[in-house]
Amino acid sequence: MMDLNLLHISVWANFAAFFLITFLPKNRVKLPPAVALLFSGAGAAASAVLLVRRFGGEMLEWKFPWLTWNSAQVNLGYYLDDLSLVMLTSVCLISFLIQLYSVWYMNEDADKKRFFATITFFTWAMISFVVSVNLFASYLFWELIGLASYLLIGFWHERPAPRRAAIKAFVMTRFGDLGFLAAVILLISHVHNLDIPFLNSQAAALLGPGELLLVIVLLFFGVMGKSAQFPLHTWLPDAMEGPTPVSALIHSATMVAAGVYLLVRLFPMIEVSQGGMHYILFIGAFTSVLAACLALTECDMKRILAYSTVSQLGFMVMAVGSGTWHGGMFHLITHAFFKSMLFLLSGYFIFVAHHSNSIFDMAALPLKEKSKWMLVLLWIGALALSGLFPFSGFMSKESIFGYLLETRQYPVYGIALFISFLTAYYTTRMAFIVSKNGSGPGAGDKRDSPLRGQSLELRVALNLPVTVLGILTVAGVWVFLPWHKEFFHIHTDWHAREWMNLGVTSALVLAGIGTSFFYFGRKSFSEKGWPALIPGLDFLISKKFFMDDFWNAVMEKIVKGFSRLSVWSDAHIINAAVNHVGLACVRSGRAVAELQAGEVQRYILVALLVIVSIIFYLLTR
Amino acid sequence: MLINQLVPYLLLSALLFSTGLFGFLMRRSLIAMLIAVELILNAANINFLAFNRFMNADKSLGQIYSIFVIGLAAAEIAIGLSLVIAVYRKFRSINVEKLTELKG
Repeated sequence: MMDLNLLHISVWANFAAFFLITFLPKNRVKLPPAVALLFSGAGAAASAVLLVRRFGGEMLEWKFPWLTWNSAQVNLGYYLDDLSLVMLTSVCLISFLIQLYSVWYMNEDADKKRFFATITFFTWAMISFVVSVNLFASYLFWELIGLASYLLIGFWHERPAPRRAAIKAFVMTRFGDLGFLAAVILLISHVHNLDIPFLNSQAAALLGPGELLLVIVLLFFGVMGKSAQFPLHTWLPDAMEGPTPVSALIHSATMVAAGVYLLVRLFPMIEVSQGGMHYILFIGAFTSVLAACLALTECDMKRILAYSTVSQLGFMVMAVGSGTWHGGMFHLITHAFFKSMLFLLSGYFIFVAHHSNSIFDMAALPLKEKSKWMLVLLWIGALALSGLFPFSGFMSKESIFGYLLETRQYPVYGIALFISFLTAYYTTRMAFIVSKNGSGPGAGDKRDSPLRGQSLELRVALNLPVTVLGILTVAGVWVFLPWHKEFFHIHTDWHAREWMNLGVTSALVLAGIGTSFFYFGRKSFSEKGWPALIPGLDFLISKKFFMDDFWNAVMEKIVKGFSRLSVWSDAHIINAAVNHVGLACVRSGRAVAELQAGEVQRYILVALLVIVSIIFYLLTR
Repeated sequence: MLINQLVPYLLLSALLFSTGLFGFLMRRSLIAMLIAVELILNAANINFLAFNRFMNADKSLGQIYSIFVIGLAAAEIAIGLSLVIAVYRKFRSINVEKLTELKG
């Protein structure tokens, strides 16, 4: 009972904050952040207590019927097992830290009320999605997540770029959601019960193999949209137009994590279909390599991180598709922590660089004197993302690599190693360049640091979240290891294979870092590194592998062509039909009105004709 | 003999009726329309008498009806003419094309 109450608190705290903030007076600018922090802090605390009390124990299911028709029923409620518990806690914790950071980041923004209302709403939608017992309710929250992300990406809607990015994100994820909706409809018409435990245990047996494959492909189409998998990945880098805390939230615990979480949540159902698993594996691997290549020569810090998110999500999807949902989930959690930290740091560096996103502008700043701690954290995050021992990224990647070796999926193992190498290269490239300390082109920026004169509470709001996330990135995995090693299937008894795996992966990561050092770590450094040496690659990357052009063409030719066809058919067929019905009525009315001109002889003529026709009818009958 | 057959009488009556109907529908003057009605009534009279003469045993029935119809026609003309006068007083015309106040 106590656990249920805790769960209620952690789910509804953010909604309560959203509700309260909406009704706050507009002139009290300090109140919205305070309310948001208070409530989401309470939610995070409740979820942490839940984690301690319940982890590894029985699952908790609490539901009530909501909609019933024919034999199908939709329940609302919670489904809390170890998986959703881990996800719930990390979402609550990360979103609390990000909201704390937002107090600093949004300090000078006028519309704090709208920001904090939307961000708490976003968090609530994600948490509800995570603990929802029913796939239909999951779908509803999935859509709410999409709506909230649209509102947040387009938060600065006075400028055209965020508006466009928000619409792009919304339309592309909605496009994917169509697949999810179709899968839900297919499931409800064939299985009649959308409870997730039921789906996981029974659905595969109730559906034929062809139908199951169709359901998985459709579901995965939704995942492609939300988790930015190829070919629906192009919205994510553009979503960088939103405020940085929003980027951090979208890229770590909410939004993009929802897709991978959905795959993991329904893994026992998906696992049955071999074809579905191969499809997921292939798309994940392809996305991962593609996005990693896009990150190689990027100069915008947030876009580098965005591409690395797409790549890492592809990595997780690939892990799930290869059969290790433990590895995928583990990487999702560790990635959520260090990626949100990296984003929060990028917000800081962009602020210090006078609102420039370019890593070369940051290189021109003397960061080592003023922001030593931030640089240390940046390196921790970068090395964790690269997957270097002993950071958290190492543990989760190691878990995936270990599984791939154990099940002898050598081609996938090779691709994963290649991705790992690219990741190490582009992440440390970013870190090397940012920590140049004013020795790059345009060095010696003597402008005042914009941080000067900020109050203590703002400095706490800036430093505390990144520090906590940094500590979790370094030590969290090791501190919690005794608890989660069974859940995440982590090997602790190491043999020759594990040691060999460790050697190979570490060697590749170090090779990536070494290459990066060769090009960017020394005194004179290049801008693009080795991708510029391979003919064609640089061009392809600068064109983003033509994916934006592809979608533009799709929008321009197919969608707009279809729109034009619809407009034409509306004007010339549907509307014309309606118009002609009206015109015919008017014309026949006019024609008949002649008979009623009031001329008595016409009336008599009509009467005569009627009588004659009646007589004629009676005679010939 | 033609005079002892029904059909010539019926043809005459039909001709008379058609003339009356044509005049009733086509003439624009109320007086002419009244005259046309007289033709129609007389066509009916001829029918009565002809059918009575050739088809019925009782020779008086058709004649009685004819006398009734003649009386009726006289009354109708009296009322009709007075209506025409009333119409003329109100509209200063007896052209039916101008009498269109009752149209919907």
